[in-house]
Amino acid sequence: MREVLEFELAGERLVGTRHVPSTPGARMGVLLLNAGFAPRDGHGGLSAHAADALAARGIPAYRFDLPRIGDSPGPLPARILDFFDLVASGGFADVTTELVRELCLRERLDRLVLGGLCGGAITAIFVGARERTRVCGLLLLEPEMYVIEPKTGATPGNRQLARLSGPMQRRLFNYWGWMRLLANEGPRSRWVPFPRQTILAFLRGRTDLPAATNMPLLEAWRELVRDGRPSLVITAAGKMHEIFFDRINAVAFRGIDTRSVRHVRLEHTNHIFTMGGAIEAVLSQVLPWVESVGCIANSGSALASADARCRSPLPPA
Amino acid sequence: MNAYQPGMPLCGIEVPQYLDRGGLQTYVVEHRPVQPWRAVVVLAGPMSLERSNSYLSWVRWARTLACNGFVVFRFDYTGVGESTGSFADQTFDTWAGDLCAVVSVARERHSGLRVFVNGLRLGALLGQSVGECDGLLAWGPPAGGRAMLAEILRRKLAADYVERVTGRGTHEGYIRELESGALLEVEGYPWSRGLWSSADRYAFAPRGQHHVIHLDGRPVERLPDPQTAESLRIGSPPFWLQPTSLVADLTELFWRSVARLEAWS
Repeated sequence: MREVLEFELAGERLVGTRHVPSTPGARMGVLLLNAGFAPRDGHGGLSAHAADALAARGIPAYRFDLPRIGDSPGPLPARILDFFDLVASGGFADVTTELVRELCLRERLDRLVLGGLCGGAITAIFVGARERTRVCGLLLLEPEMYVIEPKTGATPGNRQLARLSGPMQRRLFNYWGWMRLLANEGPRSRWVPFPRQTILAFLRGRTDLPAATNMPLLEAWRELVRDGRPSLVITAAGKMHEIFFDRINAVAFRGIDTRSVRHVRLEHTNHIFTMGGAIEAVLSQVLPWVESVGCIANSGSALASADARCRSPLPPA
Repeated sequence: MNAYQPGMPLCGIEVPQYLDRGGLQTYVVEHRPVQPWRAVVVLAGPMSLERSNSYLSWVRWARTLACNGFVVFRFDYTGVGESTGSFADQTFDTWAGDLCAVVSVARERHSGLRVFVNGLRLGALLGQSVGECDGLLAWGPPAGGRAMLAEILRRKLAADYVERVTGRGTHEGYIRELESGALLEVEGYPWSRGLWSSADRYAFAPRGQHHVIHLDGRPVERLPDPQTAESLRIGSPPFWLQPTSLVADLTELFWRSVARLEAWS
């Protein structure tokens, strides 16, 4: 069963959905955030299906439209890139932190697994790093770990080059054009002979972070991993987000214990998981993982004692 | 016309709620502006991924109507969005039933007001089957249900190609699969034989009071009846396919639609 929830937080009205668990009494829940600017059910209803399945297993699940998205009102930048910039800079972190606190209070929950796809994953990382006691696990679908210069599509590293040159050169130096080519995501990429594997191997071997890395986000992510917070990362195999995620992690997590992170790669799907049976595949990973992180228990135990239960027993990423 | 822009104060209140319909929950948002009210408009949206893509514009349109004195009901079809139910069990007929149920509720709650249906794409096709409405305003209606589903299947083929899906099918192959009774994943939703065959019964041929706004900028010669239809070109790709802006420029469409609904009221 689903119920509508409405919160007023810091002057903003948030509309959400509660998926009532089949058995009452759970003190832990799951909160799913918007995938970019898509409404809270997610593309193909992914978030709604996940929340239904969790509730059927006795786990209360919630989905909220953050301000400006879906049914929640608020000012909206007209340009999509400006919206992405807002998300990437943690623009939804404050209100989501408030939402986590309010949800725990009103729903009598001790803690939450927080997650989402793409932009939802970004916000989950920022909030997870802030809310050490209430956020006990992260569900990160296609996390976007890079920033895009809003006006040009250029990265900080090649901004000057892009400014100096004409349209042809701008194309040549367009970081995302190259990334799409590398990830086989551009409409023309199949026609361009390109030693993808060689270049990918070269990139993986590099010891520096890409210039486009979202550093504040990476810091938050590193803190979460150092902290041992269980995280389930699901990416579309071989696609741009995954390539970038792998490259950043390879550099950022040298010498850090990453056993709390489980990374699942889904073959034959796209960024929003609407192909190749990905929605079913995501559900089959999420349900056992949420149960295995150990945060979801019918207990009213003190927060301090729950840390140990939140350690992931899963193998290293 | 009072145009609502994101960030402006709402005109009245918005009440999101569930209608309990024999084990199913239909998600409805009622926009109640400050009185006096002109009429009620029930918004019937497009299907599946088109719903996700168009949602911001659809909500903005509902708020614009509210700012012009219309009570608005918008809802999700069974198995889609916030409404419960299995998508695989749905057909055009079950979705037409959803629309009729919401129109009935709207009529019950606002018995003194006229009730209009405004449908976009699938919603325009389904809007024809509502017996008890006082007018249908159709936006971008496809020629029929099959034509619309075939168009979405072509998008699936294009996505298969871009994403390099191995062993990808053909248009005919996908239709054969559907007709054989297998479920076919299209833009994340499981299409069934029931959905495919029901679409055949929904050609766009509205009767009663109606007005059609084609959104492809077609010339007047291609309008079936210039008295009840007009044409407008909105940006390409249209807002239900791939939003290129979060606040798509739909001023002309909104303006003409408000004018039509005001004239009917």
